[in-house]
Amino acid sequence: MDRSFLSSDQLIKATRDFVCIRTATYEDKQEATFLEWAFVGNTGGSLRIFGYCILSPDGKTKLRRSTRGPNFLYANSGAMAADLRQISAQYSGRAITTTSNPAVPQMKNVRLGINVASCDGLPSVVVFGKDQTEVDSLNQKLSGVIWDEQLAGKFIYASTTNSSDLKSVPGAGSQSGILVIKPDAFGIKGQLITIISPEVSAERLQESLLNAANAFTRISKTHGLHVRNGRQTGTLWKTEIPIPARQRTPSRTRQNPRPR
Amino acid sequence: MSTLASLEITMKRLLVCLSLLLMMTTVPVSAEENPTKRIAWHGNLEKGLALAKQTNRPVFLVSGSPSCLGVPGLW
Repeated sequence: MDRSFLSSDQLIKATRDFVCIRTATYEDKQEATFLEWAFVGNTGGSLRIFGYCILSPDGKTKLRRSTRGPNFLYANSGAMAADLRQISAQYSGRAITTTSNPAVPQMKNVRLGINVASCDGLPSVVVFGKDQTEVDSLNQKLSGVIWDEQLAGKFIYASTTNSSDLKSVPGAGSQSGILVIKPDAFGIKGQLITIISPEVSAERLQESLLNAANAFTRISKTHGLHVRNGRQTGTLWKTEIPIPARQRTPSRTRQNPRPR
Repeated sequence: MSTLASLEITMKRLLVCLSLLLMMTTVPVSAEENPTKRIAWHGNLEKGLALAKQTNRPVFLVSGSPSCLGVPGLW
């Protein structure tokens, strides 16, 4: 995913009038069915690793044709921002505020949350409670502060009541709270940066998250080197649903060399 | 006089070396600062679509695999 394309200020500003959804392609069967409709459509074939499209608010109409990524449709992020502004002008949607958008944008689980945080070079926030009531209460607190422009998009969120979900994060899982975690380069393990108490006030919570976001530095990665290191050390990711055969790695396909 | 000039050049070289050494020890080579603004992604399709319907906002939908050639930590 082209980070530079999606990181221009004018483009980010234009996306605030949209609900931006980024799913992990092979991590949920139900989502995959929808993604196949959105990205593959009637053309046949299987779900590709990357996909992009713009949908109407009811999610039923494609407003722009789907492509492998926005950079396949627009010459630059300025052109894309202009098109997004044109689309959003047709709808009377409410922009993100704490009152109109109270939900915390959660990943499906902690494992995926930490991996996606690593991919994005962001800290992960995990809400950990002894039961669902406590988790819901903590998420309610979070939702009141995270849509502020200073914090929007600065963390990848997940929740759990199960301490074993946090076994990859030393020091986490023994006390309830809002955990800020630094993912490792592969997003497999995490380092606990801080635990914010369940009794924290809204002001203090916002301040703590802001401090964590500002102090965080992401790990630089070189694509080829990262993949090579991962494969050499056996640091591999198992997707929830199988990746279609044509997406398989070249090394696997080379196991059956073509006859000469 | 030439001794003074030579001393000055040596001092300048030393200062340049010290500055380079200071830069190498204080600038983290494997870390980057985060950009100030980010797209606020919803990671859950169902909840995101429900929110779009509720707030009458169009959907910016992207999907990607958080692993490359089976290795996690990279889109």
